[in-house]
Amino acid sequence: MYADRRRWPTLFASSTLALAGLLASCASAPSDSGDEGSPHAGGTLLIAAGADPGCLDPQQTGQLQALDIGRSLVDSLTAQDPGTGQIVPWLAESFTASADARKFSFVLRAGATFSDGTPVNAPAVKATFDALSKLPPNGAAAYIQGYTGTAVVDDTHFDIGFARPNAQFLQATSTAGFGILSIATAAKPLADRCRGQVAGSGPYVLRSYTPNQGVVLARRPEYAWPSSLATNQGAAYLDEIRFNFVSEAGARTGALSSDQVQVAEHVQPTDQGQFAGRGFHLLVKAAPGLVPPLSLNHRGVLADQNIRMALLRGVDRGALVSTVFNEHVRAATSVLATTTPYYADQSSKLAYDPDGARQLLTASGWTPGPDGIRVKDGQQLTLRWLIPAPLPPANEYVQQQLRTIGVNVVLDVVPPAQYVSRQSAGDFDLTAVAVTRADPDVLRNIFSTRGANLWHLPPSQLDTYLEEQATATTAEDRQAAVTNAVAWILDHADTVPLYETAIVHGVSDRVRDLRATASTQLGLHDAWLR
Amino acid sequence: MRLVVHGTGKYVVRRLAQAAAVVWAAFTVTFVAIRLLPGDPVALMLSGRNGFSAPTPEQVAETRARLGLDRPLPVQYWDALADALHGDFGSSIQTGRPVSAMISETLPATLQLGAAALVLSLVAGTAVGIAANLVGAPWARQWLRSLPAVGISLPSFWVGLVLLELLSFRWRVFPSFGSTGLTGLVLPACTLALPGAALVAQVLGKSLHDTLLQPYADTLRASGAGAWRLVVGHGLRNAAIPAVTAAGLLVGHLIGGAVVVETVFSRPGLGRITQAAVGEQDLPVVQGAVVVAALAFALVNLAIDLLYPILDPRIHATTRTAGTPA
Repeated sequence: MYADRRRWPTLFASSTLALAGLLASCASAPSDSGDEGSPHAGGTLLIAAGADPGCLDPQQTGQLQALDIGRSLVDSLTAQDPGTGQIVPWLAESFTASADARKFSFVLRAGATFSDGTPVNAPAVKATFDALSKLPPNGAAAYIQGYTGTAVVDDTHFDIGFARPNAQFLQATSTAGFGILSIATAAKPLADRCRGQVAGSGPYVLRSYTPNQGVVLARRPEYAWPSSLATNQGAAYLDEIRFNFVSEAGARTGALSSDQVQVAEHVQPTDQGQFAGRGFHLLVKAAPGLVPPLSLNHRGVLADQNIRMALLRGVDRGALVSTVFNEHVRAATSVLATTTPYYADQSSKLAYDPDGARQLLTASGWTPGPDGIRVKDGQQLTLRWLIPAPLPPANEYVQQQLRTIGVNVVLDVVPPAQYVSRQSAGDFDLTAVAVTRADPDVLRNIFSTRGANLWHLPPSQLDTYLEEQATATTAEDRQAAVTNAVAWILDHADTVPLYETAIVHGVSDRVRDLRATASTQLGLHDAWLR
Repeated sequence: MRLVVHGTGKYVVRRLAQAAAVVWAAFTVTFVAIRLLPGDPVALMLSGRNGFSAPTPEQVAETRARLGLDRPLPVQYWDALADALHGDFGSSIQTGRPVSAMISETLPATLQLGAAALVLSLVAGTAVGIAANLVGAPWARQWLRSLPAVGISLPSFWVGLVLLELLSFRWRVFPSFGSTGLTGLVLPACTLALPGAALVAQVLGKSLHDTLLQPYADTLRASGAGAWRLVVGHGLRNAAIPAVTAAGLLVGHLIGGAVVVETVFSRPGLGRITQAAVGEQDLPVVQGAVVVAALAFALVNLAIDLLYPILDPRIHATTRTAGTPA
């Protein structure tokens, strides 16, 4: 649901995405080979996960690695169907939104309990959201801004209010970051919660967390309140899940191929081919949300729309994808990934047109210099691309492509702490911020001039479209506003969408019914070992 | 006798003072260096690494004030130094965990790895250094002399990945991650030991070679001493001093190498938290880790300095000033 800016060296600074069509086919285990087709309980699932996220509390972190673990510890009010994007019941058996999208009323199911023994009730929901709304808006709290409070009607009925219309809130309630926590958890110090002192009502509980080594989860035998999407209605099948933090991607692949683990998370494109057949398969989840782009600072050289448009037309997405990636990554066809609700194909606005790009540069007075880089008033057309280390290979390829139209891109690779402060200070021409979230409101997070506006867009009609999609309560109204916003963004070249990517995990064929959620997390409640 | 003891005592006190100065300098340089880096650890922490919701300047200012980072630098420095003298390095900016707890959790794993690698380096390095002077065949001698250069030029991460590929993924002899007892220690310790072993082999081999060219060696040869007795019985003791000095420097190699080896083999340890903390400019954590590393380095080198007079009675503890023997 959130961008993961740095721990995955795979793609851009922040990516993780994939495709709707692939979901149904790839997200499921291979067809049963006849033996033991029905799930049975028991066993320990060993997972080679990426680097230690440093904080396990799903409310405090946007890192996908932490949410993969957190997803099994907490339940949410709702769930999102990974195929259709529909919001369906989970801890809340029903829910309604007011006509102005400012009040959301929920009815909780009865009988659910937290791992500390206390009941999942309306006061716990209130404590959860009250605490969440006070956190810095850097993780889940970004999606509860304008929260005015939770009105507890009785143990199972409550209303959540907002100062402004907030159509994205229902989708947010399906994410791990909005998982409901016990009242005692809400009062704990944040550092302790990071260390895993988080009591949710999920199918697993945290047994241990050893920093930089791993996390052990154990089944909750009394669990009986899965989401309406689950095939398993009772306790989880697996006795134990062991996440081992293995930050080297090659070491994760090797651990899987040598049977030291049954799941290797985030397998590199170069390693993916070796798993087909041979007792392994790939779990591919196309990531929804904002695709990895070139994010353009609208100050300086890029204030000129012609130059932005030249970048938009000067990138050959097909060549980028086929050269640097494999079949699980596809050329972007919009600002949004195809798996995002309210996505519409805009590929006609993303055609590769190097001649058109050159003409635009010439029209703005940038003419080819002696070394091919364009020059105006004695100045070279140089753009600084701010990149948190390590440098992904795709960036160098984009750099080469833009050179052919006469744009000199300097790859400025810096440590994370520098990246954040320089991005906040606007000290860059290009960055690359993707956001994984199955809701089009990601557009507002990135492009609204009323938010952080890290890319210094000027206020425009776009702000209105973005507010309209946040206010809309019917699907038609929301679709119209989202389509208008995306068209505006591409017509003004406010960003350069590059590619749609996927989270790809390598999985042993012994593991059955392991699926990815709509937000790309591992769904471990249905999984079992053959 | 009494004079010598007194002199040695003074020497130890002076060396202890030098060791303390080294640790203090490491602390100070780290403090200054991290402050000079562009970038803001507080903004990084508040951004939650999500890349799109930059914290507001007010949020950053409030957090900086809470962490005491808004005070004048000299005040921060003196407070940090005073706390560090009491073993308190504060709390991590990124996670809020006390640094002393982070270090005490990770130090045992790194000590275990470092000790194993040190022993391996010394044993393997000594063996190669002796063998290079013992074998008769010129080609074998040449080969053994080139070995250290090869060992020192192979990058640790590459060696680690090759060992993993062969011994863990292909032949499945050792686990590839986690520190599950002795089997989990073998590959990382060998990887970490390799450059050190090469260093010891190089220095000892050369020193032995030089020693055996001296007149006393001719005398021994003339009196009928065999190659083994000549090299191991007489030459080794005379040649050991430079190798022992190299072993002291080796501790520095081990501390640096642990960062790479712990990452490749997914071991929790001090190297891992140091690496992460440097990237995040998490000052208190970096400071704590650097002081621990500097302490280890200073103490080992102090121990080695005290070892010289035992190895060679001509070196008198009271007359020596630096770690390099005459």
